[in-house]
Amino acid sequence: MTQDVESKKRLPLRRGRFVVPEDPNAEPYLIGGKCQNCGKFFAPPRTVCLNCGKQMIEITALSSKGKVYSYTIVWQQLPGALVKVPYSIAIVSMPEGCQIHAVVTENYDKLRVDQEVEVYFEKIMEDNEGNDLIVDKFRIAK
Amino acid sequence: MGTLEAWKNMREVCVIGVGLHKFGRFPDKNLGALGREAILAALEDAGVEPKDIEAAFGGRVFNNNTTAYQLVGEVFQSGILIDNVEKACATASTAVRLATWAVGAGLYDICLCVGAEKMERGLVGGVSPGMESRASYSQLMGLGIMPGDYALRARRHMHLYGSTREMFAQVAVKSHKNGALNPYAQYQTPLTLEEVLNARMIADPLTLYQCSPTTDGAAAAVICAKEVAGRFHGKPVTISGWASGTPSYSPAGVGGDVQEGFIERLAKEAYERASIGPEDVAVCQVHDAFSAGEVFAVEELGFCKPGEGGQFIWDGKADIGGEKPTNTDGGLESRGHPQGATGIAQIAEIVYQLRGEAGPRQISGNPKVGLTHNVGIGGCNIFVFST
Repeated sequence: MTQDVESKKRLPLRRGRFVVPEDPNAEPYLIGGKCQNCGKFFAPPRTVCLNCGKQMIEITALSSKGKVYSYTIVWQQLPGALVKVPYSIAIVSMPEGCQIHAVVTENYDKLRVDQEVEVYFEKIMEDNEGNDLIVDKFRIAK
Repeated sequence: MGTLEAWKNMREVCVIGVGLHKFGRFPDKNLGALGREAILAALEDAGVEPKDIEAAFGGRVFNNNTTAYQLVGEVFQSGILIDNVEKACATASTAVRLATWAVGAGLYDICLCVGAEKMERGLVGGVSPGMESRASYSQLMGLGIMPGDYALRARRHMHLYGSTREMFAQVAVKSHKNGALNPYAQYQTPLTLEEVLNARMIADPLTLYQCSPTTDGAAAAVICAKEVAGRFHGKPVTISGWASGTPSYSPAGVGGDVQEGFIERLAKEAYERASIGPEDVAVCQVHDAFSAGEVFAVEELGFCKPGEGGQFIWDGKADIGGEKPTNTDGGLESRGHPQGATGIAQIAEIVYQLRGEAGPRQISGNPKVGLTHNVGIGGCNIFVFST
């Protein structure tokens, strides 16, 4: 079903990992949860801090760059996944002290441990109403 | 450690019988048939009759609803407690631990444990057709794959310690060599290092033969108080120690089943309960869901220093003829991995080894101490056995 360009929206494929601003010119950004009591970060955010046990976690924007803790190139297709092999999974250590499991498709075979990588966002599909569904991926930092 | 004192005060518990249904693919047999065969074999091995069983624990991983009740019901229906148990790939060892606690506490003298599974081919955890709206981000993005965490920790291991793909592949060579000696194993064909390395890549560096297969199978065990074991003909093997737990919070690390340090912590507890050290373990069955798992296990169980697991296995130290025979029955990779049954299959092999009944897989030297290490999403169970 087609839509007017004005009413077509960008939406996250799933909520909770990153924010897609309403303003179509604004970049999406990753979110983490920062414990206001002890300062630990969790990505994605959570309600109860695993470090100190308090429920004082505030949603906050996360850095857009991190370092590769490890990676693997995947060749076996997970049934039903939208990302097709080959691609890489990377564990990215963020400056905030938390880690993210990330998909890397761009130069997926050029990853190295300790490499700097950056997040970017792209459309992966449309929903039934023609909205763009957005996902996060990482690539080697430019 | 409060539970250490409590364990010392419990009465001695032993495994008196074990039984397996061959691991493989059995499209013409339902779960009940697999479980029934394993239970009957375990009762026969123990010399115990259904009327002697006072409680039962069991389960499967997929569609685990009333499994233990159904499986026990294939053989008898005597009105006993039957608890259904699940801890992903550590389901069967969880059943054994619960029986061990119940018997050790004096609540029951003799318990039956059973694990079984029937599985579809292919990667576990995908999105079924029509279920896309319920799929998680992890599933839709291909992040949640079983070999993933093992492959991620393997790459980290290569980076930190210089482990090579050949070392990880050697685990699979050893496991298939041992599996060829095990009539219950799913795969009984030896493989060369080249065959393992050149097989289809699943998640780098893990190739197809370094990944445990999907499998149908069942395993059962009879657990009893040592003081009543003399009534039955089964040769008892004492459960001298155990430890169970989950990975604790850490801001860094691969996480999940392969969270760094998780197994090491539990191994120390198990050794303390059994009053032994890693040097005393004569034979062990560890959780090689993927070949790298065995490399991590021999380190975290204390058989070699951190980072040296690849070299340890490469040098043949984990071979049947080596100083620390590991996965003598072929491990998850070759014996197969019916997820709900694996934990008891590991225990069965240790029982055979300590009884001297492992045939062509028997390690020399009259082994007196064995160990099993069974990991699932949701925790790990380690057991120490002794005669």
